[in-house]
Formats: sequence, C-alpha cells, structure tokens
Amino acid sequence: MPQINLAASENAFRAIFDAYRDTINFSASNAGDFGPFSAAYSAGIRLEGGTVDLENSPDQVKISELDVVIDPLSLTLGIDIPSVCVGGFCIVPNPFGGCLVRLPRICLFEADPDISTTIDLGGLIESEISGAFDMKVSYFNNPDRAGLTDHQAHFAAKTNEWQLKLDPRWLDIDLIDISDTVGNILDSVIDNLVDGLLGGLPGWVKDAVRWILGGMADLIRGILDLADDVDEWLSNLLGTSLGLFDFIATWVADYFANREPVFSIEDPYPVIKAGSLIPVLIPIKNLSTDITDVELVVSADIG
Amino acid sequence: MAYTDNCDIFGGFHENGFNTIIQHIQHQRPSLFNYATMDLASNHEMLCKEIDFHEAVNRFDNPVVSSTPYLPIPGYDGTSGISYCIQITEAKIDFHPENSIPLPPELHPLGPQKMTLKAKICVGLGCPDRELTDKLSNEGKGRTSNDKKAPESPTTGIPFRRLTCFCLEVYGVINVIRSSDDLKMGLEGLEIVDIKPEGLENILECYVSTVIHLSLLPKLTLALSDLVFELTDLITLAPTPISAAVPFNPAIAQDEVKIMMNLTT
Repeated sequence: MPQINLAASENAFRAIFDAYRDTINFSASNAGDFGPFSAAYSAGIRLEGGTVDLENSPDQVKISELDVVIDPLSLTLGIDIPSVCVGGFCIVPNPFGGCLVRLPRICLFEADPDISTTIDLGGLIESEISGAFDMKVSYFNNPDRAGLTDHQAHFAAKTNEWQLKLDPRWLDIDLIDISDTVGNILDSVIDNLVDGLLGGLPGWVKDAVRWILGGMADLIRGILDLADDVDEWLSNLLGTSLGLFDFIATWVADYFANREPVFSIEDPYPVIKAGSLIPVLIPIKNLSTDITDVELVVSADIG
Repeated sequence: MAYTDNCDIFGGFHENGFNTIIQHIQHQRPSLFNYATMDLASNHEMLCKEIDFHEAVNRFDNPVVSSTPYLPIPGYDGTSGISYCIQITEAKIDFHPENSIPLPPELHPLGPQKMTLKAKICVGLGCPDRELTDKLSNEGKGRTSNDKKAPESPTTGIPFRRLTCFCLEVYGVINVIRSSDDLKMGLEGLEIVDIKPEGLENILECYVSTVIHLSLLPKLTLALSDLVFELTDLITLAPTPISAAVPFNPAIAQDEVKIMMNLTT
C-alpha cells in the first residue's frame, strides 16, 4: 500500500489544466518561394478553452476542442509579375531610314518580387487541438546538481524533480474556420497592390499595360493561384505550403510530453521549510499515477 | 468510493510514511530531540545515546543539541549546577485503529479519530564524585545567613566522570481538534510504563504532560486561515468544511491521516 495518496477530482484537474494551458504561448514563422509569388508568416500562438476528461481503461486524459488562437498573424505576400515593356516604338519615322522620334521605352515589373504586402490576419483563423494523453511519470536528474548535496541543491534551486507530463497518444489539429472577412481583406489588398504597381505611371502606360496583361487584379489572383475559395487557398498556403498547422501540433505535443510538466515535485521534498535550521528533506520514491473516470491519483512512498 | 467524492483535492498519509518522516526530522533536526546543558551540548558524544544525525547539520552549522540551563542545587550558594540531558531517542505514531503500537492497559483501546504517540525518552544526570562535592561544600562554609542573596542560576556545570542514564517509554493518545478558527492537537492521556513507586510515575507523567500541553501542542496549532493557500495565481485551496459527508477533516482512520481540500478559482 502506498504511503502517500494524493487525488485531484476531475474538476480540480480541469482547473489545474486550465492554469497550465494559460502559460502556453509561442511564436512561429516560416517562408517559402512558390515561383511567381513568395509568402511568409509570423504568428503568435496561444491556447484557450477546451474540455478535459479523465478516462479509465485505458488510463488517459482526453482533451477536446482546445482552441488554438493565432494572434497576431501577419502574412507577407511577394508577387513577381511578368516583365512588361511598353513604348520604344517609332512615332516619326525618318524617310531616309531610321526613326526621328521614338516613344520612350518603359519596362515594368523587372524586380522579384515586384511588390510585397503584409496582411494582418490576427484572430481570423480558428483551429482546434484534440488529443488523448498518458500521464507520464518521469524523473528529472538536474544536470546542474552534479556535485551538490541534497541541501546544497535545495538552497541553490538545482534539485531533481519528479515530473508528471501529458504524453500524447494521439493529437489532431483541425482548421475550423477562416473568417469571412479574410476574402474582403484579400480583395482590398489586391486593389491596393494594383494601385501601388501602376500608381504614378503616365495614363498611356497604364492603358498599355492593361492591354497587354489584362485586368491587373485578375492577374494577381492568377499569380497567387487564388481561386474563388479563399478559405481553401489560405488553408493550403498556411497549412500545406508553409506548414503552420503541423508546426503547431508538433510544438504542442513536444511541450506537453517533453518540456513542461503539469505537476512537478521536488525530490527530496522539503517537508519542513528552512528557517533558522536547515529544511527537512524527504526522499520521494515509487511515484505512480492512476486515472479513473472521476479523479487522478498520485501515489508515492517515503524513502 | 473515490478519494475525491466529497472534496476537490485529497491527501492520505499512512502511518508508515509518517514514521519515516519523523525519522528524517530526527536525523536532520536533532536539536529538536536532544536537550542538554552547555557542557554536554558541546560534547554530545557524552550523552546517554549516541546521536545519528545528517551530515548537513554540521555542514550548515546547525546545532546537534539544544542547550538548557544547569540544574540548580537547592540551598547551595555557588555558581555551579548539575549537568543533565534529555533525549527523545525514538518517536513513533500509530493512527487508529490500534495495531503497530500496543497501548498500555491504562490507555487501551485507542478510540476512533485518535492516534498513539510512543516516545522513548532517555534522561542522564552528571553525578559528581564525592571528593568534588566535599570540596565544593568546604568552599561554601563560613558564609553566614547574612551573606545569602537571592539564588542565581548556575553558570557552570559540576565536573563528573560519566552520565548516569535511564530511559522511559512514554505513550500518549492524541486527537485532532478543529474549531472554527484553528486546528490543534489535544493530549487525551499519557502513560509512562514501569516506574515505581506510583507517586513518582504520577509526578513524571504530570511533568511530561504539562510540557506537552504548554510547550509542544501550542506549536502544533494551525490557524485555518494559514491552511488556505494559492496553488497558482488563480487557484486557491482551503480545507473542506465539516459537514455530514465530511464529519472530520483531517480524519484519522485506516492507519492514515486524511486531509480534504476544496478548490476555488
């Protein structure tokens, strides 16, 4: 029989998990070149909401619909428009050969990208994480503790720890919704790009470019491969091409399983804290967990 | 039945674990278990029982023995007193039901929600040699009653060759009393075994009981407000209130002390 049994009800575990979840935030960025256009994102990510259930047989913690809040999210698009040269043709030919007066030759869109813009998509993408987790017990041998006695390590805050971590059995991230406003934002951005690209050029040049390239907005949409389904386009760009959602899922799984424990217990544990005398440190051994449908039980012995 | 049917957080501590913790406390804070006059405190190898203590005690300059005043000699006007030591060499707890510590008949049986504390206490007295007491006695001769002042506390110990020691086994029955404001321990009964005559046993029991009542138990009283603490910035834990479902908190039963806490966010 274990010498110590500590139990947290499902409600208590939820409250503890909520506090743990609220400490999680991280950032991500990536960039890619896709021929006629390039894209890069920079995102700040945090977790909210979600429901937590303790399940028996198998013992696991099930987390459902944990909101992944991607805010801020800035998406930078760089567009390479095919070079266009207008003018340069002769308007007053020389009857003896050659040309007396030529229109100036103007070549446009020779840079790569010709123009780039950053779109603020913070809070406009809803995604969720769901998963089932083992409550993994591990022992952290603090590498900074080497050569120290138990009491020296305690005073130097370099103690070993028993750690309880959520080790994913499976973890899914789903893109739930992209706000309808994203389509309008992209339309507005494309309009602005057109103005930016052609602004300041003489009227005849604009006319010539439009004659050569057709509608600029349609051209940009074509370059971006932006079809009518904006949600699918953005989902593919961020999710598949730039790997944002895979990154989030991998990061969260790694954070739960390897980085930050849900609970940690200093070992040896200071059962009486230091005052004028040294703390009384108690070795903890045989730490184990049991999950039922209603509670998490942590058992241990005194060494 | 789940541990947390009537609370959010439950803690159950078995007497075997508790007794191991007491051994660690004894090992790491020996001065709470060993008391002696200054001459013995600085030479603790002379005490009745050798003290086994943790290396950190010396490393961090903690005392091994708590220093106590010399024992005064009534009617003697000198500055010397008798050296002595008191050592709690063993301490053990048995939570209800009574099994690991059989109680003496005077305290048996152990009632519900109670625990037994068994301690082995060794007492030693530095009994001086006859030649030395004769010498000290001669030094006191010649003083008249007019020379007598209010007796002063002894400042030095009378030399002795070795301590004269005896050990007693003390049994106490302790309960936990929870009031609206605090949580304290009460001593319900105390018995020192195998002491004759009966009057001496009664006197010693009275003395030990008074020490426990006035010195030890008040230090073990906890204000309930001190048991409310923050698990995180947003989560507060407090003892589960007494109710029909939770008639005792902490509860002593099945060889465990059980503590129930509620959580508020």
